[in-house]
Amino acid sequence: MKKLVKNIRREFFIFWGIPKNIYMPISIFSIIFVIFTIIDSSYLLGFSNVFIASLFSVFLMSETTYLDDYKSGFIEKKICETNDLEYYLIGKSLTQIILVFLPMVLISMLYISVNSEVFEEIKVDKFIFSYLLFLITLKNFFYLGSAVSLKRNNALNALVIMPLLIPYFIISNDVLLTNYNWGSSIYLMIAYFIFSDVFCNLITLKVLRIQSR
Amino acid sequence: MTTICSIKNLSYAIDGNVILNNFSIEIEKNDFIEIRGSNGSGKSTLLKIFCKLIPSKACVYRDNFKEHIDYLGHKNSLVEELSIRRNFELEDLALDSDIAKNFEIKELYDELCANLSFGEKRKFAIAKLLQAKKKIWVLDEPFAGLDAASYDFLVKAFEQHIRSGGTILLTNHQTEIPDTKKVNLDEKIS
Repeated sequence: MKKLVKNIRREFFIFWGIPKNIYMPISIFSIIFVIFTIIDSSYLLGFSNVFIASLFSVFLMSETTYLDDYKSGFIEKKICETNDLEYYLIGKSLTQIILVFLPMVLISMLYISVNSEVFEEIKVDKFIFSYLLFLITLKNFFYLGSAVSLKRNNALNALVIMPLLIPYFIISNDVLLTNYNWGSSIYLMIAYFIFSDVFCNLITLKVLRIQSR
Repeated sequence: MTTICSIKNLSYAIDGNVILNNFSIEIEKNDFIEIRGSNGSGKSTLLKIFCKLIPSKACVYRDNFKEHIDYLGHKNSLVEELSIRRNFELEDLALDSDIAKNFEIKELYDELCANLSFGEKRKFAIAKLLQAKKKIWVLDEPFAGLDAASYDFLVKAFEQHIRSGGTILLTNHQTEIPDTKKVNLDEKIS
């Protein structure tokens, strides 16, 4: 527990100390939102703006997730000194969920409330739950891509992970975009989240160890 | 003497290029081992194998020693976009005035890490190591970028660490440190 708290504390300090970690993804997310709002496409596109803005923001955020710590030698030092790299991943994830994803959820809710005529069927609690699941699952996949592309230092390498996300896009499309269908799709979404949380993080740990050699 | 790690007949190659060939060494508690060798002779690789960054069956560890290791690689593991003070705070440390005086880095404590030279960053990374109070120091070229005065201070700090029961395993390209067990990887490979 002490190790976990230490790792979370470090990540929070870095996020607060380097504000671009917070405002960069949120501003990209907001800019895309504003563009959609200005062109007043909510009747045509429904909830697609949330989908597209989230995809861009998480993808761009994932680009430097491990890169700074890799370049500074922190990951190498961590592996050499301790056996708690998993706490490092948990610390990073929790910090980003609280400081980036929750504000994104709030912005989306604001958008829903402004366009309440279009989204009158949406229930806030269900929206928050499914949208957070969506963001965390995206994060898990893109972070794996970020770890894989660490040495090449090319964000586009993270796109190799995209094929794994195609079924997820179809499922989340049902839940978030098409009439807010909470049938079997939400269970598939939860299943995909569990899969990504276990599989992606486990592979990311292995990949980070290999990349640091 | 308590053996920390026993390496027997270690061979290691990268893309078919043999780096270490049948290398053996016993690392005991309170040892001060200086690994020397030309570029690409496997000094850093040996340290990484010792720290289990590179897994090897040739290494037998006697104890769960990992939590006692303080590792300093080629990189300083400092966050470039934060000040040095914030970097120390990340690890619950504050710069020791005695170390700051000897390294002449007191005035740089509030500087942004990215604004410092390689040698200055190295001094702060070593200051963190000296303050962390861990028993086993694994150091990859710790003298790189240091001036003569800092070199002398660091050698004294190493001697003090050994006297207090610590263990040091380091690679070195520069002037030989007196009273150390020397391992020359150029001789081992030939």
